[in-house]
Amino acid sequence: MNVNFIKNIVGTVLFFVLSMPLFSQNIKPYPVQAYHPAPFVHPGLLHRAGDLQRIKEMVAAGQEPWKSGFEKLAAHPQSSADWKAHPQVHVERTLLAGHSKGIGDLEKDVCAAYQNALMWCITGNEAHAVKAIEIINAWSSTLKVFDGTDVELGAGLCGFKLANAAEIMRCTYPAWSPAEIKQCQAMFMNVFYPPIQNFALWAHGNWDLACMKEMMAIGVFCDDHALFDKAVDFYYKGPGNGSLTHYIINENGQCQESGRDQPHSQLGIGHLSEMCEIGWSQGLDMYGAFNNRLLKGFEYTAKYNLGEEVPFEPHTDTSGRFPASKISTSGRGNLRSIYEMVLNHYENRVSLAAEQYKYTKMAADKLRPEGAGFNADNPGFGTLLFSLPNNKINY
Amino acid sequence: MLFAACLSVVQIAARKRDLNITVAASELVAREWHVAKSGRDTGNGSAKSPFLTIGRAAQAAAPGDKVMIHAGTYREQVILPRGGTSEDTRISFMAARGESVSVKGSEVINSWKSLGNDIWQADVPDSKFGVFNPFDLMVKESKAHLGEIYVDGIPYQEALSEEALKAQPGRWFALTVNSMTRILVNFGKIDPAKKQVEMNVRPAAFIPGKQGVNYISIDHIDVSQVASGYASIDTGQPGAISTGGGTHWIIQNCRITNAKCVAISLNQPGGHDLKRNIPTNPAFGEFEDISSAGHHIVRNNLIQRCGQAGIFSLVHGTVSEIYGNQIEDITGVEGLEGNDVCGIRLAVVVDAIIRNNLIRRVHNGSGIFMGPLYQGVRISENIITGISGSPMYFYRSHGLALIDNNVIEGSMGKGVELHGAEANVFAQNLFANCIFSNEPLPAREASGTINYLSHSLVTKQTIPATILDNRWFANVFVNKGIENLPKEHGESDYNAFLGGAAKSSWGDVHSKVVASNGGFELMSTLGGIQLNFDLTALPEIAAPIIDAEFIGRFALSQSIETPAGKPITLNADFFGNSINDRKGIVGPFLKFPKQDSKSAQLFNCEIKKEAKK
Repeated sequence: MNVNFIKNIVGTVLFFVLSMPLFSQNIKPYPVQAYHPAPFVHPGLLHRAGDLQRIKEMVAAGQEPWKSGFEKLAAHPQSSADWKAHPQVHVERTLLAGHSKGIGDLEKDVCAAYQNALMWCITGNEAHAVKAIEIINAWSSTLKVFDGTDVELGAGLCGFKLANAAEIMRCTYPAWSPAEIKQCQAMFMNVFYPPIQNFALWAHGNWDLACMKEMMAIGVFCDDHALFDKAVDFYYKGPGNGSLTHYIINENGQCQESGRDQPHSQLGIGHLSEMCEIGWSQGLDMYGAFNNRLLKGFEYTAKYNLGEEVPFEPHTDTSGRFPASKISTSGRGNLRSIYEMVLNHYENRVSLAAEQYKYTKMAADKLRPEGAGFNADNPGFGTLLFSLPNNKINY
Repeated sequence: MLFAACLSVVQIAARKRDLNITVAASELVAREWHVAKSGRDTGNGSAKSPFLTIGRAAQAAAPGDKVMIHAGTYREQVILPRGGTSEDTRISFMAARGESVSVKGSEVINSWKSLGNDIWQADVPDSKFGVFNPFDLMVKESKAHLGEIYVDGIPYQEALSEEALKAQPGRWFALTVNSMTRILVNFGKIDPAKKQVEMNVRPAAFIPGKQGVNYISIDHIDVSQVASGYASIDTGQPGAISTGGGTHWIIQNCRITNAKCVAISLNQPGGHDLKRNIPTNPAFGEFEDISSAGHHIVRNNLIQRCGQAGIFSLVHGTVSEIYGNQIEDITGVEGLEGNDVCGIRLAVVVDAIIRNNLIRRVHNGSGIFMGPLYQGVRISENIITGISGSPMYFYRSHGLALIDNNVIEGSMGKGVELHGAEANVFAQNLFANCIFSNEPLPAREASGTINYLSHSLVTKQTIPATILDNRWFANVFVNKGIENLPKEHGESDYNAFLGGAAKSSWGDVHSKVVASNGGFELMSTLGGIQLNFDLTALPEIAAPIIDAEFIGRFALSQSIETPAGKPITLNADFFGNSINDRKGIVGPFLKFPKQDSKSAQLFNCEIKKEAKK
């Protein structure tokens, strides 16, 4: 990692954050910095080639914790090569009573595509590759309209997972034809990207973040650097609740949604960490931004959900719509499968002192082996996918 | 045998149907129907044999037809059974060229009997009213009846008791007894036999007979003395001219006076359950199809002396243009106060344009009232003055509204009021004596506030409307500024503050303050509106061109753009001078039409009258 490059980014970020007005959520078409001018690494989303190789080897060797992590994945219904896709022309994710269309089908199918892609890489069983491609092709040849009040969430979450599946398959399964890959890219650009292009500034931060992580993922899969840069730029200085310091609002690690409920807070920091992981795949250290702010959010959230108390600062979000005066107990204690990825970065990649990731580790230890993410929210299966050997080798 | 007979009946019917189709096809050429006071409804509607009533012509008119109305007063409620089917097949109702046509909602009363002490009595049988007796109906919860008495065209005031009637001339009092309505009037020293005394009896002048009567034009017709009932977004919006849920009407060059409540209503028939307002089932989420809403043009009308509003709309202001209208003396029915009374109100509206209207003298009400829910709206080049309430009131919306190049004068400490309204852009306006306020809505009211997908009525979001993020750029503020607005209410810059007006405490980095008020004076006369103002008093401010790029996007992704989705650039001032020649001048006037003049005519009522001929 080029240290000067990172310093430049941090300096620029600080300038913009400090000069930003509090309540004007103005997106102006300012030129976005080229965060990643070099060609993308492929596969380069949540899993690089080396990661996939490691997972495969560890599972084949019957090593823990990968072994029990893999058992979780293999036992999951959407990891089955017999999964049946239900592609739809029109998907609507909406809050409005009685209007929802096809979103359940899409959520399940993108998980099935992603999990079959992983199963293919880990087991070498081609039936999984065929299934993953079948699901992706089925949707890319069918889906035309994606809308609804919550389309940003639907497109963001599902697009992210589907792009991860597609990125793995493009790099590992040459039988996926260029025409079909092109068709998949066209679906991302024409159906998934338009609803998320302006983020979701009016909403809780997990909305922006769903858009941001999808944008980053589509950027890599479609080799579109402008999209990638736009998402990374938003992470550092976006005017919505999803940018890093608007989501993890202080050095204590309090989150924008801490006063809302705990599941959404975990969803949000999970999104942030997935962006960081893609960034890491592409050579950017977003984990380290603002003095490891991401980890502070994880520590705060894990600590509270493990039953300890945390300080809470009354806070109004950047949209002005969601003032919070106290931390929410709603959903407290229900840990989500988001902790292994972050733990392994700070513990094994950058080797921070153990007390800095104490609660993240406790949460990961408690959940291990991590199972599926909730619906299509987060990738899940972190024990299998993100555990690094405890030998400080930088993967 | 019976079977055979039945067959023959069917065959005959089929033959007749074919015949009718043939006839209809041959009549595709638009017809011109004539109506005259000398006519008969048993005539054939030709110029030589005109109908007597407009209603009869409306029955006869087919898509594409014109109804030419000849001079005279028509006391009828014109029920429109059908409209056109496209822009090319409008059904038009118009005064014959150069002739003066009046449609009145009133009848003459001449059965006056003196009771002494200036009090006169007339008993009107119920048969005169039909099912609708405005003297037996109240205007909402006000103390006033829908009824009205006019003496030589001037409305008398309702007395609330017989004692009050006796106390002062120019008043009337009504009571309904035994199948009749007794009207008592204090005429003072006037002999009613020598005056034309009229009472309103009809609720509308032009009204569709059913929902979905589209493509109607009403042109050059005077409408007056209509007992139009109270308009509410909850219960219905009657008007002297009512579009009744139809689309693509053109109402132009008309003079509408003395409507009891609303003059022109672009209405959505039926009530609305406001209790239905939760995020999963929000109020006003049911419309969806923008093609079946609005698309009206309301232009160059003179609207005077109405009790509630000049133009009122629920939903059907959508994709409508309201321009060149002169709306004045909205009197406010006694007991109706606040936001019920206004010059123009548009509720639940997308992509409307309100341009170059004069709104003056609204009593107990506001000038323009937007909301709840307005989106993609432009309010431009209007002059609003003499309003006892807020000259502009914005209520419960996620915006976006672009308010540009207007001249807005507040009075009596009132100004532009924002109430749970966000994403309003105020640019290049002149605000005089006009304070700004920005208040949040109660949480229950704010929740479930819809934001539609751009240029549609399809619900995109149902989230609370905030008071945040309104924007003020390149405006001129005279005497009063935006100092009242607390911190962090959006963005404000490149404004000029004159005559004691103060900047915001949170923006206005490039704005300038000068002590002089430029001799500002807005003179409202019969002839129009004259602005006296020394443009050289304006400080030099290097404001940028205000365009979509400069404004950026708001939280819900809105930007300033036309109904067709094209980014808007404010490239001209009020008079059409190119902004490229701004030379440091902000506000709606780069220069006045007369070189070096310190005054300009902003709205010319005389020209309007000429145009009406």
